[in-house]
Order: sequence, then C-alpha cells, then structure tokens
Amino acid sequence: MDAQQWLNQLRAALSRQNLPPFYVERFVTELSDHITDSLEDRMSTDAKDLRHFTSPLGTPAAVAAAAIGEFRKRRFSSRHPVLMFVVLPILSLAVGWIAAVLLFVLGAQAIVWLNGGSGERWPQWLIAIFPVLTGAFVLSPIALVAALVCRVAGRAAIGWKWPLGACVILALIGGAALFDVKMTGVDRGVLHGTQFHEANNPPGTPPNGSLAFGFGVNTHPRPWQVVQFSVPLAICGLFVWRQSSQRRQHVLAG
Amino acid sequence: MALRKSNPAFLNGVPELLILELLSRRPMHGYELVQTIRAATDGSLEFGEGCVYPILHRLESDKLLAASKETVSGRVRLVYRVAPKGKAQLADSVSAWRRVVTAIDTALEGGAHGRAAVA
Repeated sequence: MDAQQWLNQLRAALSRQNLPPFYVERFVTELSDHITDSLEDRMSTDAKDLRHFTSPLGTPAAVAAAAIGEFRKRRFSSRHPVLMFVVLPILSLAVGWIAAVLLFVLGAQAIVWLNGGSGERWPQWLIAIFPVLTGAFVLSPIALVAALVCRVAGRAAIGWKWPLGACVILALIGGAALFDVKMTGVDRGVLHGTQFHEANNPPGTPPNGSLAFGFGVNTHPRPWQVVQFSVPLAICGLFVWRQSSQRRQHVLAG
Repeated sequence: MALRKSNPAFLNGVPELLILELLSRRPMHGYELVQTIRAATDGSLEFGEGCVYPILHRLESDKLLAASKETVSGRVRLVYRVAPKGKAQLADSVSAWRRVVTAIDTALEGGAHGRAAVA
C-alpha cells in the first residue's frame, strides 16, 4: 500500500467513526508529516520504500481504532453516556421548564405593570401571539436540550444511538407536557390552553390569572403536544443526516 | 498507545509515562518522539508508531502537554512540550511506577512473606 492509499484509508476509517473533521484533518496531517520524515531519514524515494514504509505505523484500521479509543477517553460524555444522555437531559428539561415558567410569570407581571396595573385591556399584539407564546415556552427547553445533546454527541464522536435515545426520552416527556394559562381581564375572553373562552372579569377588579403545568396524554393529543413530540426527533434526524453528510463529504474530499 | 501483540497488556499506562518523561527532557514533534522512544528503550518496547499521536492528543486535551506550531528543519511541525500539570503527573507516575516495580521484584524474588507462606 502506498502512502496516499494508507492515509486515505485512515481518513475514511476515522470519518466512518464520526470523529470531527477538524480532528481527522489534524491527525492525518501529522501522520503525513511522519511519513515524510521517515522517507527523509532513509534518504529514499524508491517506489519499493514508498510502498513498505507504512508497516511501522500499523494498519489504518489499527491506527483508527487507537485514535477513536483515545478520542473517546477524552470526553466526559463518552465515559459516562448514561449520565450524559439519559439522566442529564431529563434534569436539564426540568430546569429549563422551571426557568420558562418563571420567565413567563415575570413577563406577565411586567406587562400588567406596563399597563398601569389595571389589566382591563391587554395589548392586542399580546393577545394575537399568546397561543404561540405559550407553546414556545414549553417547546423551547425541549428543543434546546435536544440540540445540546446532539451537539455533545457530535463533539464526542459517540455515534447516533445515544443521542437518538436521549431525543426519544425528550419526545416522550415533552409530548406529554401541558401548559395551561388563564388570564382574565382580556376583553376577548380568557386564554385557556392557548385558546380563547368567553369569560367576563368583574368590572373594577384587578386582573387575575393562573398557570398550570403538568403532564397528560389523550387519544386525541393537542396540536402543540404533537409538535412537542416531533421537534426533538426532528432535531435528532437532522443531526444524523448532517453527520452522515459530513462523513460522506470528508471521505470524498480525502 | 496501542502496543503490538508482542508487548503484554499490563503495560497499560506505560506509553503515557514514557512520553511525559521524554518530553520533559526537551520538546519534540511526533516523529522525533517516536524515534526517541525507540532509542530510549533499545527497541524493547514495540509501538505502532501511528498510535503515538492519539495519546499525544489525549494528553494535550488533559492539559498535561501543550502543542504549538513551530518551524523545524524548514517545515512547520506540531511540537509537544510538557505542561506544568504534566510535570506534576509525571512525578506521581514515576513514583507509582517505582513502587510497583519494587513490589513485583520483591514478589518475584520470593520475599520474606512469600517464603513463609510457601514453607
């Protein structure tokens, strides 16, 4: 096998194992330098030497296996995949939702305060975007955690099974989540579960509202629940597609 | 470092020790380091040369080594040197290695406790 063939085979083996392109490039460059040094030491450019100099390096498969093993040892996520792809996504989602609810309450308080505390008329733009806003508050943590999990998996070259498992967990928990908001004082009624229902606020009373967060599944899930279920799976699908596409490009470029 | 089959599996961790020791003497690039390992061990330890680099990368990632691009013999090379954390790690590893070697030697030579047990 000549030098270029050896390096190409190594590059392909590394890329197949999802090692990041920047690392593959660095490794191949260093080994290419190593080969050049080896040839310079022998002061030889004989075709025979070019074919046989690679034996001290080991086979591309052996070198790739060593590189992958060492690369994975470097990453916390590779050493503790259960913690990273099962426990942490669930905890992160819980923390994300707590933060989202707090943000939502603070935002609502701020709007009441900006309206002079009467709350008799909510801004029309808020009423218009409210269904999307409530959905986004539930969805954002799910999407963020899914993206984060995929990014961590990509950087650790851990393959697609662990991030897929994490995204399925996120989809199941996320798909069951319900965020129910009622806000009185809206001249068009009360917002309930991102839908308006007729209700009248007694005149002169300050606006009140309630916010409920929980889990529930039904044979006819709400549209937002379908979205919440689908988004992490879509993010994982995008990640897998991107990984395989980068791998193909890298092998072809090599 | 993946050792060839001719080297026993209990040498795990030895390549890291060797690399840290040799790089603590002077900074080197990969090829130079491989040649130095060969010379320093009189060829007794056989290494797959290509497998030295992943260990260097891991040690760098663990902040035990630092790598910088330098021009060596007219070519830009990645030169590795031991970082302060690597020096501390080397001292620990050397002392652990000496303890292990002493203990194994004692056992192999049939130390006092070993003889009593056999008798």
